[in-house]
Amino acid sequence: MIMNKVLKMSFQLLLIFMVSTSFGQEKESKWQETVIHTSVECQECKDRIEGVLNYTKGIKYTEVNFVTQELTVKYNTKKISLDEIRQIIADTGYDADDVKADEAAVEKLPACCKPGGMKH
Amino acid sequence: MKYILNFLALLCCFQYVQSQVNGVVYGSDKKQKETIVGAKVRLLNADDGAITGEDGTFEIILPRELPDTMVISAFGYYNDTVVVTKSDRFGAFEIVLFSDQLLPEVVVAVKRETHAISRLKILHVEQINSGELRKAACCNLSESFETNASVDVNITDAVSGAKKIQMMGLDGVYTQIQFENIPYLRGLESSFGLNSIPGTWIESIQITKGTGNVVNGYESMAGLVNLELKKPEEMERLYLNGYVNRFGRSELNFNSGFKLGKKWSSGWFAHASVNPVVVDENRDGFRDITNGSNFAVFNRYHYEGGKMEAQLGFNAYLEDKIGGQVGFNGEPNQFYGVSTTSKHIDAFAKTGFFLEKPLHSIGVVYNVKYQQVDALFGSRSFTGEEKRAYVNAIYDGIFGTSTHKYKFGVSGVYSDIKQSVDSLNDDRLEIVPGVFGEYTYTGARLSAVVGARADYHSIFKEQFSPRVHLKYALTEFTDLRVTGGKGWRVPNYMIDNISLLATSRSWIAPDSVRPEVSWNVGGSFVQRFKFLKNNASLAIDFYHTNFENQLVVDRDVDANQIVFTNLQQKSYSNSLQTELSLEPLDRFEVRLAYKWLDVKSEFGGSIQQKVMIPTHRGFVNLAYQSRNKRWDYDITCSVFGAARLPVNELPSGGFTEVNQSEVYPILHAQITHTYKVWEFYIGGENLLNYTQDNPIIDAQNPFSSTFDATRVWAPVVGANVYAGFRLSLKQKHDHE
Repeated sequence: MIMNKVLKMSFQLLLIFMVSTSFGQEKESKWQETVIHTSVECQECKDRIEGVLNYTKGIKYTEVNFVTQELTVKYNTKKISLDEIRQIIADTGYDADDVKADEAAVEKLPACCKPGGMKH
Repeated sequence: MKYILNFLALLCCFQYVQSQVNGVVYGSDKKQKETIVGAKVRLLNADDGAITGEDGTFEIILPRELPDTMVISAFGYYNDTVVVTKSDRFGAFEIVLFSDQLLPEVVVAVKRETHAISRLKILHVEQINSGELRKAACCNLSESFETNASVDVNITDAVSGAKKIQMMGLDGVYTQIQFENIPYLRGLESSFGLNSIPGTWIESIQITKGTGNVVNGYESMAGLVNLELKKPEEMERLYLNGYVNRFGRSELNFNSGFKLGKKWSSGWFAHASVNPVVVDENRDGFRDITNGSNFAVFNRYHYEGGKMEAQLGFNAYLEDKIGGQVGFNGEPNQFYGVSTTSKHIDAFAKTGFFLEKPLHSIGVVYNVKYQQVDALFGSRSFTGEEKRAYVNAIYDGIFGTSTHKYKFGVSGVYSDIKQSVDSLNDDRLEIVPGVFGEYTYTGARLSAVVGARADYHSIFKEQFSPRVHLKYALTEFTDLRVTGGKGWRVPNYMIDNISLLATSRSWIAPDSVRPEVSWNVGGSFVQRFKFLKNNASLAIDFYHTNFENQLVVDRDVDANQIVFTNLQQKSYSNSLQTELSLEPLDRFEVRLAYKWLDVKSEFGGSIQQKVMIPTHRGFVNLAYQSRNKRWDYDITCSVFGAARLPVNELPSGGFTEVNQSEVYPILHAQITHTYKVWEFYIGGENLLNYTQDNPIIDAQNPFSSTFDATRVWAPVVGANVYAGFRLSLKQKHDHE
């Protein structure tokens, strides 16, 4: 039936999309996924960090969970190092594991994102 | 269909038996209440948390050990703490955080008086957020519903390019469209109005099924669609959008919002669209798409003072379109031509005053509008002019605690509308003062909204419209809603059916115009559950609309006539919709819907299904977002079932033999790629390239007695491909 045909077709199209996005993942060796502990406080912080890291060369994706204050990042070890990523986070105004946030950057953050900003 | 049912049955086995609560977080400064996006909700003992989404809602799994303490925090507001006990596993929380601009003493006083915990929305409201709107090109409002199953958008004829919405199989005129709670797109705008609101202006859309609240008027009979446009204080500092499609339609949109001093902010919106290329792919000598241009500007202001808040704005719109035979150039000549010119200017203002007593306020809404529509369909012409003024004053308050809320107020409508088709005239001056009252009870499991309004129409005298909405939380995952009420409107049979001028059938005017009155009863069942660890939901709703009076458009009396008559026997609509939403993989969402419509009235002397309304409609929407949120993929496929068609006389002398449409699919897809401030998208509409054969009967002889361009049930044009960009720069906010 048409419904069937359509469903099948949509699914095929979807598969094509998914395959196209997973290209480049094949050489697993150079891709590394790590969790970094950061001082994110709120949605605004999440948007800020993801907004910086997701557009940084060598980074495949970044996901921030501000409830657990954890940042998951997958990156290309040949293009960027974990220390460099931590430094970028610190430059954005947040602690990254043992790298402390850049104070000048913290000053520029909105009040809710400053350390303890959500505890009011 | 069988597969879907099997699938549903299978799903029920996947339910997790974990208890969960959901809720919505509002922020309140004095008496204004708005949802908070990104508020933090944390369970202290369980060390688990959630954040509120775009509409302020959250969901959180409850731990086994209860009670637990839930802390809700958001920037700019005092934190709130709620103790969650076992009895809270039923239903949802409504949390109100108070602005830290208020003195702590005020907050404490207010908190003692209010009940911090109550339940979610009582009416069945579907929310379309900006994220959903990005899924389709959304050039204008009519395209905003492409990824939605509740609202159908139909082409009305093969020549004018007009689109109309439908809810529950009932024409869009029975759905009240509101712009930020002001009745909008009514009267002369009911036919071409959807094109006048560019998609890039819209922040969100709320779709209410059934009669809705009494506060904003009497005209919502099948449903209520409320549009929220972007707000000056939150919208982009600069937003640019460009769009071009395969048929040469190009659009440019510009938005900009900024602060004007401490208390004022302003937003500017502009839209221009041109469609210069003549397209006739089916070679019937008629344009498949109308040519022309439209321009729209909107300027709004927001004032936020200590004791009052105000909004005002101005909007102007101009649209010029030509359609019909390829040789038609806009000026009357030997060709069959269609031209429409539609323009309006309007202004609105809203003022809100906060009273000394917490949670008591007065709001007044004003709107004035001038509208003109001129249209030509071959040798037939329409002219229309409308002047409208509207005022609505609402008092908001509570009895003791926010468990018992009430609203009451007065409204007034002034409408001077003049219409003519060929030699027929329909001029009317209406003045409609009204009063209304509404009481909302928010209990632990049961919530109710009971309201009524009484209006006095200067021509049709008094009308009383009672409405009731109930919500009952069956379990912590299950909501049951029931609604019932009356709505009415005065029909404008000319503009409401202007597309039916694209035929040589003659119009037989009604002997008198009487108000259309309908009762709508219905209900919905919403079940939330976990499917493969992610949130999922199943919604089933059913509504029955029964007309006490209706202006019936009858194409079945005679193949050469369209007869408008007041209802003789009965007219009703039954609508059943089921919708299943799943997230089988992270960031991959699937939405399946099925709709059954039974819309009957007296046509040609017997009760039968309304023409052009498919009994069955299926809908699948698949959306995937890459993990870095830079790629979005979206596919929507709708399948429309067979619909009854009117019998037409053929040029050869006989009558149409097949009077049922074919089953057909429509597939839309879009890919969006995001850079920091840039976004690029490419997409397609009607990708399966389905078109109706010979949409125009007797296209070779448009001035003959058998010409008809209104027997249209499927797209006239084939696959469309489009591409566009969005540039958005945020406003800089002062961080104190």
